[in-house]
Amino acid sequence: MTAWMVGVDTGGTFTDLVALNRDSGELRETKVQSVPADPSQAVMNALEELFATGVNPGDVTFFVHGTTVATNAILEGKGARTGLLITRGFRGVYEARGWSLPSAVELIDPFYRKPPMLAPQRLTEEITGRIDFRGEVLTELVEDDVRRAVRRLKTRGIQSLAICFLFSFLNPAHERRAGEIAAKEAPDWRISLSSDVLPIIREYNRLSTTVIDAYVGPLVESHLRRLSDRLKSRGVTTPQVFMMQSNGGLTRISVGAHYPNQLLLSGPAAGVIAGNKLAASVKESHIVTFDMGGTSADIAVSVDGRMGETTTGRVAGQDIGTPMLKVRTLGAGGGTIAWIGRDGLLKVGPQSAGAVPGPAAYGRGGQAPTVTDANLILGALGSTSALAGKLKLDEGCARAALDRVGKPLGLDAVETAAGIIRIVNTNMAIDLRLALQEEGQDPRRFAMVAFGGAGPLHAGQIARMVGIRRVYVPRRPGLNCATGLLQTSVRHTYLQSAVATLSSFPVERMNALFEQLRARALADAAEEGFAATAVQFHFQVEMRYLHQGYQLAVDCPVSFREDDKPALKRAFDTLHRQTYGQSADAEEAEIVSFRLQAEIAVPQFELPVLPHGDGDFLRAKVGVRQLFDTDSEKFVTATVYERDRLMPGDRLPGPAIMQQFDTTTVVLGRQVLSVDSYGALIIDTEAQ
Amino acid sequence: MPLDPITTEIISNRLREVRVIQDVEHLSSKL
Repeated sequence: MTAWMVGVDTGGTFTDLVALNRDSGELRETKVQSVPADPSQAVMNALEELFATGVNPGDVTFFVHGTTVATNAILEGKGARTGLLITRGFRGVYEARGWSLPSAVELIDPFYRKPPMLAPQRLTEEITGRIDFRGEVLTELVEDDVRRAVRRLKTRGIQSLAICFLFSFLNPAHERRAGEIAAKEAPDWRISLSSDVLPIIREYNRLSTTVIDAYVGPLVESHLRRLSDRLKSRGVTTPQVFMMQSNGGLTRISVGAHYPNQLLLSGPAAGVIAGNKLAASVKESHIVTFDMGGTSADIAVSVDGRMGETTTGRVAGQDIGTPMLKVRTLGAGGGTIAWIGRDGLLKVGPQSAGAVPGPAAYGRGGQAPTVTDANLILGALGSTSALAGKLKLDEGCARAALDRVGKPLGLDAVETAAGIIRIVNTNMAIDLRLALQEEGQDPRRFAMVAFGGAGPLHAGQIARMVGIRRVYVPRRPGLNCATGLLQTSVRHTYLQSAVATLSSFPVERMNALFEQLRARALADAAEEGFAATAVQFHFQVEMRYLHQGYQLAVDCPVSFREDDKPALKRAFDTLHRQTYGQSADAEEAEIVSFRLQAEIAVPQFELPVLPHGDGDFLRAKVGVRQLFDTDSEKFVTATVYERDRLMPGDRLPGPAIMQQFDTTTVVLGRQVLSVDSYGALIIDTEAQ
Repeated sequence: MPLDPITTEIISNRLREVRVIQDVEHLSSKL
């Protein structure tokens, strides 16, 4: 029997599959249309294509899935009807959004709209009962209040309930009791307690995360169950079935529904993983990953080989407090639509034509011009180059769609197309620069890893605009996220807040808190079917100086002793200095939260090293094409190459176009392209 | 010469970026 590792990533437009034969190293890949109405169907369709090539369902020994179910539920407002129980007097906490103001960009947007509340005011009920900042009961929970509230919410047809009381991270008794009462009154509801979802300080982030949990939970649960059943009935019986999480780690599919908010960045996180894996292989320590697909572009920054992480993440306008990879998403992809704004200017995005009807050039009834249509008219994409290996592009449809928007502005199809590309590239360059500036980083020290179906089309130009000198394009850019699914480990992060100054914090209590987190991690590991010995633990405490509002996570020894405290304080001072440029070594520090990361190694896909060629790159030449150069605003003659015929060691000048089944890479004039030992393309961008 | 609908859009988008950077500079000057 042969053993296959399979990764399936569902995106807004395509569902990608990568399968690796663990014995021979053989790689197979397919791409099918996503089925937004039933995402697990697209997963099965992709698997059927794999099985059609002779792979046996029983030979799939390891399966990982990246999903957009949770994200789409929020984006499209299709989550469960969610109610909220909150401490009396605090119904405004959710609506006030932690007093976070619209960002600078939003402030000057006259059409700015506040993100919707996933649990609206009319489904919010206040409950009497109060716990103070020490975790002591000030006012007993009024159980009848809970019963009355639950009965009222029942008449309003809710399916899921979030419960978040003040200081429940210190004492969850009231939340637990309210949860019990609600479960008894309404046994079919899914109930999310903030003290389970995210037991940390600051009620707004805890609340928002709990509401997301309640809102997407039922949908995620049913999707995972359906997928699990379908896999089993098709003969994929391996217990090694995993989901990718926002933190870049995997979770067993059976446990995935426990942490639905961790699935919000499932797909993008996998891309970041694969990008970093490639960067590590080619020894680039500072990279930005640039993932442009059909619907959106995702940007993530890694400094010194470490992927950026955040505990103040925001997906589709909703705040999430659980640690996740820091990924910046903007509505710019191949299917992104160009339109005329109310101000009479040409706009690109954020709406997308998605998988259906898709860009006008797909010839499936799409009327609106998209980035793909513009790329086709400008010669970056060819009408003969089949998109995703199957779709032929129709130039006539693209031209007609571009005229629909261009004519009223007095532009011809080429001018409109060039405008669309200039605008979408500018938008992406802005976000890329902001992502780097936020980290205080200089783009000239960075390399870009570009992937996604549309990433390599735009990367050379964007990198040059931003000042990034080198772009890597992995071997299978359109399947990079699916590859990333097979390049990480199982990972969970557990948090518990408990506030006290470092000097006064009894070490017994610190160790007891870590022990509590470790017990939760071991329980999850057992449920996931792993032995306790397989779990690697990483302990951290989140610290701040007295009177500070925000904390930094510092590494901590496993079994903490009183005489470890000075070293911990010094580590915090150093980290504070690195982060903010200053520290207060003589000041007292405070511990805010305890954090445990549990990691379990699973089989991974390693990039194979390919044999070097003879350097004669003309073996890959298939023809020439007129390519519009947005700098000189003229068509230039670009050589077209078949990517799969290029070999490590090849080095060729732009303007050039690399065709392959899952993407097209554009090399501009004056840029140089070479192929490295892993088969990745390297574009020297000639950035100043 | 009046600006075309593409250049104007690009300039207005770039202004948003400048606005963000100004915010950062403003904040850091206060520290």
